Amino acid sequence: MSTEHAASLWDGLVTAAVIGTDRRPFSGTEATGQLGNALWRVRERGLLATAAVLWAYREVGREVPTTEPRRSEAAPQDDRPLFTPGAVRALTVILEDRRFRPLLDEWLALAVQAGGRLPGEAAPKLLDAVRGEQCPPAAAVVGPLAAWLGARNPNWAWAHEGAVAGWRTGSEVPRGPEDLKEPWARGSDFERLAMFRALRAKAPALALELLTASWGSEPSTTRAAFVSAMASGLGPSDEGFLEAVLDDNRKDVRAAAAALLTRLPASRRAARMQRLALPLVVVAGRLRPVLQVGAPPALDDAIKRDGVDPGRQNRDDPQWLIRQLVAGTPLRDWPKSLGRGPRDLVGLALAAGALGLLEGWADAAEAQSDAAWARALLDAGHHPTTGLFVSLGPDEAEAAVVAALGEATAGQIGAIVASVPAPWSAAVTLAGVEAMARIIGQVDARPLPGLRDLLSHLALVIDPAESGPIAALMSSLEKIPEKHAVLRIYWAAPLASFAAIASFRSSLHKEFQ
Amino acid sequence: MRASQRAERIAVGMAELERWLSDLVASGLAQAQGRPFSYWDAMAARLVDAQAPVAATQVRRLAGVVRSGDGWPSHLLANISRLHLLASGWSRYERLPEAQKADLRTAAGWPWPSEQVLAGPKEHDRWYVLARSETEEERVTALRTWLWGIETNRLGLVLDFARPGASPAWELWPGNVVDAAVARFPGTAQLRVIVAERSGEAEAGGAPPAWADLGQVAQARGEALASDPWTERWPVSVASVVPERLGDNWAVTDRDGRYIALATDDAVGWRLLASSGGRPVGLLAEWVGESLVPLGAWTDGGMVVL
Repeated sequence: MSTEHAASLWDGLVTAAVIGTDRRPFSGTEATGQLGNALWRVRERGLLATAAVLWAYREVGREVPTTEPRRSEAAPQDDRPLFTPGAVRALTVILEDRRFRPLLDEWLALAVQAGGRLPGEAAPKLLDAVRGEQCPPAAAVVGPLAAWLGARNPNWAWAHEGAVAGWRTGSEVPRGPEDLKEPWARGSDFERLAMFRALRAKAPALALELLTASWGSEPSTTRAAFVSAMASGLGPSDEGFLEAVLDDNRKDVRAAAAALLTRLPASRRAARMQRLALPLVVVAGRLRPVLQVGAPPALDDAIKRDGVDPGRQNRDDPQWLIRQLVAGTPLRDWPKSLGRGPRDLVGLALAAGALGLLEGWADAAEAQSDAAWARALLDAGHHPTTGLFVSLGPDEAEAAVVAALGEATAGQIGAIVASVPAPWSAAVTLAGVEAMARIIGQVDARPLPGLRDLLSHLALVIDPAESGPIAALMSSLEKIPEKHAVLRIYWAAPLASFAAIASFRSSLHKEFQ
Repeated sequence: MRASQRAERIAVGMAELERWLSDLVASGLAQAQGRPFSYWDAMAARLVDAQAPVAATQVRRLAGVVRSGDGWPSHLLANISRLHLLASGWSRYERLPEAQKADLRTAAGWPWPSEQVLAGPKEHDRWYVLARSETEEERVTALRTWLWGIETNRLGLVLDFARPGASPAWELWPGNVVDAAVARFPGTAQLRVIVAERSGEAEAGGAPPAWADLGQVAQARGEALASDPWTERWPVSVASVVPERLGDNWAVTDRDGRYIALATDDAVGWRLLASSGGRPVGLLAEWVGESLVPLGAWTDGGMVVL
């Protein structure tokens, strides 16, 4: 009895059942061999008994159909070690629990640094969750499987082979532009930008070569982003390209080039700014020196070409113009021109109320990473910015931040905390947490709305190796006196979420050690 | 109530079921499609009164089968022919051997007190936990844990009923091996067990014991169905299959090109596909009807619970 024959007998029975035995009486089903004997025995007992026998016969003898072997390609082997189960579980929590979602970037960074691979079954949720800049590191931890899956699921098409090859340039320097031609030509705008960024960090000249070759056909919408991405690995050899970009027909592209040129004191733009800015400032008087700032020149096309703009509502605000000219001038030229060091000059400018000049110096100190000027400005009470702290160099920056936090009031702490780039060192962590605890415990400091957000920010940036901060902040609650107990309620929820995120981060970092 | 009284009540309900089924076939299945839910529910309610709750559930499900789209007459006939087999079996209940009586009792829904099961012989083995599955039954969650005895190659099913959201027994976790004596429920296939005694901790079991290909799985399932045609779910552990996405559907293919559809959603499908990367994996599943419900995969990274 063949399988096909049994199937056709079954179909006949189904038809008979649909019609009904009242209209067409059932007279049994004929078959040969063993099945025939079994069906003969039940024919008197009707259609259902026959169906039961035939059903059992077919199920018991069921053969699984076969197909021609399909040649489907497997994903390339990935020999990197798997991440620990704890690290994978942490990712699952981050993806499933909204409170921990902000930690996805940190998980990706730790995972890329650790250099392992994600177990395949965890890949789909990660590929579904990542957006924008998270895509390259996600593709890196999933490995060649990412491109393989991307070829099968349109939602993950961004992870195709060209893109993954391009992103991998973040870890391996390609031999030459030939290696990159294909992914560079094929990638989406977003992928090419990610690839360019990764390449700038490793081989800036090679990246510039690729960009120069395709510059004429780059869409106007991405040109500014490409120029801004040159910030990584920026050097004197980029000056020629950036100078040419100052003639671009889009303002955002010109502004991006001008911003980078302020970081290159030997550039032609720096020389032009210097020629305009230096003559504006004079220091008069030997015994009681006074700093004076002259009127800035009128904006002409040549100055506009350098990205100098008239400011909001085209008001030609002189302070704003001065700030831009000074920001583009090499800082080393000021002591030469005025015969005084940064500390003196900052003091004189403060005394003269020359705000445009001071802001310009601060911009220049950031752009040119000038520690002496940054120190002079911060010591004189200039408002802290990330750039000024970074310009001090790591050790001095840490001391300056710790000192600033030690004196910070409820109104100031937000600006300081925001200006310290993550991740925080142990010393800054302790100082930040102490300052926060002090402010929470200060009853006369009315809770400012921003302080609660500041706590969630703190939880994301503090040094995860320090276990003290959580206890220190929690104990600040107890310092609030009884008669202000309502403030304990105000702080309870943000502190609990701070503790949850901070302790999650600390276990996360241990998983990748 | 004495056992003989309950058996009589079930037999009465089953006799009514048998008549109801012949009426259904006499008037034709085409008529059945137009019947309201109450038509099926009324028969189910009479089976509940007759203390045959599992049979009642099967009858209630027929209302869904007639609305299941293409091929419904074939599915309906398969289902009602097995109900007919159950009902006509009950008409001869007292004259049947013990094991077959037990199958009829289980299929009707007359439960076995666990003391009675535990009083039977114990079967000692090192049990590999193949997979767990969960389904929502009426008002309860059925938790199935499939075991494979490493020494005897006999299978076991631990069936628990819990309120939805209740915590499962973690030690019977897929990929673990537990040293235990189990007692089998009466019947011919005797798949269902109770864990009577445990010794030692659960250990990681390595690669699961498995059938070599889908043909062997089908054969084992066929043998089980031959003795107990009311076996609804059959455990699958197959050593080496490649998962695939075919259009919007999922399937696995074994080393000889045998293929079978997977009944699953896309989230599980993609996880299975990603865990394999196009290479063969061990598949843990339940065979239900025409397709497999994937529950786990054995990969180079170990056991993946889907």
